[in-house]
Parts: sequence; C-alpha cells; structure tokens
Amino acid sequence: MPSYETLLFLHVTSAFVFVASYVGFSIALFFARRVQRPEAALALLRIVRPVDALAWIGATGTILFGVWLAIDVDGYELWDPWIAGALVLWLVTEEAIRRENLLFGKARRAARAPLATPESRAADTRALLRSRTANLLHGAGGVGMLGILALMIFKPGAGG
Amino acid sequence: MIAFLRPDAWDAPVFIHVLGAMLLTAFVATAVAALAAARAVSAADAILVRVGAWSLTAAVPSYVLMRGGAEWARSREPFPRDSEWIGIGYVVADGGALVLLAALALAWIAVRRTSTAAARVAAALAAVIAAADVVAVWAMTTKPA
Repeated sequence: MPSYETLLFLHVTSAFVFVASYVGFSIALFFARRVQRPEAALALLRIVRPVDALAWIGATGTILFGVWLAIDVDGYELWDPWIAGALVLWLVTEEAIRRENLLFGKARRAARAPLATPESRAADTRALLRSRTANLLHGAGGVGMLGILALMIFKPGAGG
Repeated sequence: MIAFLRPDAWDAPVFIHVLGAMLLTAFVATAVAALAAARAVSAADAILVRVGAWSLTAAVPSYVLMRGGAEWARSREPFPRDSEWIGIGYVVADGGALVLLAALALAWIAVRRTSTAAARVAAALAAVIAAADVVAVWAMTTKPA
C-alpha cells in the first residue's frame, strides 16, 4: 500500500501534467489561429498529439490518485463539498479537453484537404480554431482547472 | 500530512506558489515539445521554434509567481529554513532560473538566426528544468527530513 506522501506526489504530479497539456493546447490554439499557410498550421498541430497524450495521462492520474487519497486519508470523504466539487469540475474539464482535441483533428484535416487551395486550407483551419465552439471549450477547460486548483488548496467546507 | 493540517492563513500564498509552479512547468514542457518537434528550421517549422521561444518567455512571469508565492508562504509557515525539502526547492528554483535564462536566450537566437543547433540545446535545457521541477514536486509533497 503506497504511503500518503507517495499518493500525494503522484496526484500532484498528474495535476502538473494535466495543466501542462492545457497550456500546450492554449499555445497551439493561439498560434494556429494566426497562421497564413497550411504547412505552418500542420507543423503546429503536430505538437497537439503528444499534448493530448499528456492530457490523458494527467487526467487519469489526477482522478485515480485523488480518489485513492480521499478514500485512504482519515478525515477526507468523497462527498466532502470541496472533493465532490472538484470531481464535477474534473468531468467538465476532461470533456471540454476531449472535445477540443476532436476540433484539433478537424483542423488538421482542413489543413490537409487535398482538393482545396493553400489559401482556403489555411482559412478553413483558422475559422475552425477561431469558432465560438473552440472558444467555449477552451474557456470551460481553463475555468474548470483553475476551479479544481482553488478547491484543492482552499478546501472550502473541510473541517481540518 | 502538512497539506491536510495547513491553517487557512497559508492558503493564498500556497495557491499563488502552486499556480506559478504549474504554469512554469507547463510553459517549459510546451517549449520542449515545440523545439524538439522542429525537425529543421525550415519555413514551415520556424513557427515551432517561435512557439518554443514564446513559451519560455511566458515561463519567466510564471517563475516570478512561483518564487514570490514561495517567499510569501515561507513568511507565514514556521518551517526551519534548513529543512531538506525547502533546500531542494531553493536549489531547483534558483538553479532553474539560470538554466531558464540560458534556454530563453538560445531559443531567441534560434528564432533570429534560424539555428537548428540553438533550438536543440534550448530544448535540452528546458527538458532539464522540467525534470528538476518533478524533483521539486517530490520534495514539496513528501517533505523528506
């Protein structure tokens, strides 16, 4: 049975990885919205694949070790308001990032469209990544992550 | 069990410290991914080198947030300054700052002079910072000695 310190290290490291993936998506989104050529968009979208792997690893580790800690530590319960709130925000964040990654996949296909001109491929890619859906998904992911971090640090409603 | 037992007055500085540390690690990791993904500083991949340089630039204010939060937390927490885990934190933070500045300079040299070698060295230095950050997280969470 891992110690409290080991579980906390794995939980926090996973959270760092999860946040790193979100920042990676943010930077790819920021620059890909401004590209003028489809080759540059494809180069940028190349870093989205490893970033998506990081998101999966970070999200899985955060929830796995977080729930383990909540069960293992005396004084923590899964239904404590700050833990239950974090679980809900984790679901929202994870789903927003999953859907955002699907959007990156669409943008990749638009940048590669064989029958379109380079200008229209770049324009289609920019339009997808500048869409209201992209903004909403990315915003929801960011707010969710910040909310989880605030709940984990301030622990509202915790007795300890 | 420090996190579990932490008084409320420590929460704000710890929040700033952890947020800064997470953003710092995230920008550095993104720089590693972008600079390492640039196969050559060709017209298409030049944007990846620029992404790497801007990510390392964004890591600087994140570092200030992390370091400022750490000092604010230290002023409120009655831990002895010679605690091993605090020492590890200082070594990683202060040593990491020097490596970050070197990586940042090299990344911008790679952008300006379209140098693949400078981009590669900047990526390696940024990877060292990311690895050191994991050691710092280990020290902060397990608090050895």
